[in-house]
Amino acid sequence: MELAVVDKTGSFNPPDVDEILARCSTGDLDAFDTLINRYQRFVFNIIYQHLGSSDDVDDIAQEVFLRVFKFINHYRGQASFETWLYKVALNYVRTHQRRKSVIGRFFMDTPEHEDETGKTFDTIGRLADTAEDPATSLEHGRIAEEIMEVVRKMPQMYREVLIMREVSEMSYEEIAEVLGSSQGTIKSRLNRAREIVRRKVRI
Amino acid sequence: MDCREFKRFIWEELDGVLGGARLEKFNEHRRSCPACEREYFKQRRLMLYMKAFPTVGNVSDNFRRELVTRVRNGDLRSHYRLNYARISATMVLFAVVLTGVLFAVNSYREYMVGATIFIARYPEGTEAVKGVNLPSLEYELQLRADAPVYALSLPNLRTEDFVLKLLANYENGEASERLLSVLAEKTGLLNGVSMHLQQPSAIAPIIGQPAQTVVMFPKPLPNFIVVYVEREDLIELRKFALDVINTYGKVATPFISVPQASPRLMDALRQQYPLVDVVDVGGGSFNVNALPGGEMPLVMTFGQFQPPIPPAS
Repeated sequence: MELAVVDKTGSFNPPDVDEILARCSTGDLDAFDTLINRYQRFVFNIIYQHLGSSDDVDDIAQEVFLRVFKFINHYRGQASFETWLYKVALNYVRTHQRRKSVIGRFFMDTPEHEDETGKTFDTIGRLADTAEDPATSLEHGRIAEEIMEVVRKMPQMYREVLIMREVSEMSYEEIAEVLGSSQGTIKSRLNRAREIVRRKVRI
Repeated sequence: MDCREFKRFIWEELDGVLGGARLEKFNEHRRSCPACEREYFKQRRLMLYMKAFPTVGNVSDNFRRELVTRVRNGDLRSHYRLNYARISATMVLFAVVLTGVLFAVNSYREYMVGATIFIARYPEGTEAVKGVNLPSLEYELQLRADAPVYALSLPNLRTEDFVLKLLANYENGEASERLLSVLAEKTGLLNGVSMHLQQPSAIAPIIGQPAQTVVMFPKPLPNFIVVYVEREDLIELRKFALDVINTYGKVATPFISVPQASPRLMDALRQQYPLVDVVDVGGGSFNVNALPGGEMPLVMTFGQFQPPIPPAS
C-alpha cells in the first residue's frame, strides 16, 4: 500500500480517484464499475490475507463493494480512500468471521457456496520462483506454511496489525487510522505479534 | 551496545527507522557478535517470508460484471440473512426457560416467605432476652416408668419462629386448629400475643404482594416447652416438624438436609430419666405404629437450647 500524501488540492487521493468517487456518490454505475476495476485486487487481497483462506472471498468482496456503493457518502476525505476501503473490508471480514462461528451459523442463512471452479480470482505464492533448487524451494514452502499457520492462529488483535504492516506494508499511521488506535498501541501489538512468530517458527 | 539492547533494536532496523549513531553502534555490534548476527538474519528472513505471503493475482471480469448487474437490479441487500425463524424459536425457548426459572424462584420464595409473612415483634427493650424463667423439666414432666417421653428439638428455629410458622400453616390450612391449640395455646406461647396486618410497601397491593401479619409478643418466649399430646397430635407434629426442619434446616445449613434431634436434648433427657424410653419425634427411628393411645409427654426445644441437667440421682 502506498503512502497517502495530501496533494495540493488538499485531498489524500489522486484527482482521478476523487472524480470517480464523486460520480459514484451520485449513483453513477459506470463510475462504480471503474472503481471496482481499480480496487478489486486490493480488496480481494485484504480479504484473502485476513481471512487466511480463499473460501468466501468472492462473497465477502461483493458485500464490501456493495457497502462502498451504499455508504460512499460516508467517506469524508479525512484519510485516503484506500485507508477507508481497508477499514470497510476489514470490518466486513470480522463480521464474516463472527458469522462463521457456531452461534453465528445457527442464526444466519449463508448464501449457496459455489465450488472451487466458481472462484473469480487466482492466488500467487510469491516465494515460488525465488528458490534456486527444489530442496530450497521445499524448505521455503515449509517455512512459509509454518508462518502462515502461526499468523492464522494468533489472536486477532495481533494478526491484523502484523498483516497490515508486514504483508500490506502499511505505515504505522495508516494502521492506526484503520484500526482506530494510537500508534503506540500499534507498535506494541506489532512487537508482540513478531515475537510470537519468532518464537513459534523454526527457521 | 550490548546484546540485549541489540535485540531490542533489530525490528527498528528492519523497519528502517533506526539511524544515526545508534545505527552505527548496531552495525558495529552485529559485526562483532556472531550470535546477534544470526538472530538478526533470522528475524530478517522472517520478515521477508511474511512479505512474500500469497497474494491475489487476477480477478476475473465476471466478478465486476456480476456485481454491477446486482447493483443495477437494485439487489443491494446482503446475501447473508438473519434466520428469523430460528431467532424467534430461540427467543421463545429462552422466554419459556426464563419464565420457568422465575416461577421456580418465586414459588420457592413464596414457600419460604409463607412462614415469615408473620413477623415477630416485641415491646421496646424486651427483644432478644432469652432463657429467663425457664420451668424445670422435673416439675413439668409427670413421668411414668413404663411410658416413653417424646422429644423434638428445632435448633435452627427460635420459639417465636416456630409459633409464626404454626400460625402461618394454620392460616394456610396446613396445620389443624387442634395442633395450634395444643402446642401454642395450652403451653401459653400465645398468651398476650396480638396480631395486626401490615403492607410491606406502598405498591404491594398493586403488584399483588400479600400483606404481612405482624405478631406482637409481650415477652420473649421460653426455648423449651413441655406438653401432653394425643397420638394424632404427635403424628401431625412430626409432619409439621419435618417440614420446618427441611425448610429452616436448609436455610441455616444448606448442605445438611437430614433432620435430626439435638443430641444435647436427648442426652439430657436420658441422663435425667434413665429408666424412661426417649423417642426422637424428628428422627428416623420414629414409628407411628408403635405410638400408644392416650396422652403422652412431649418435650420441645428451640434454638440454642442449653438443657438444665440436674445431678444424676
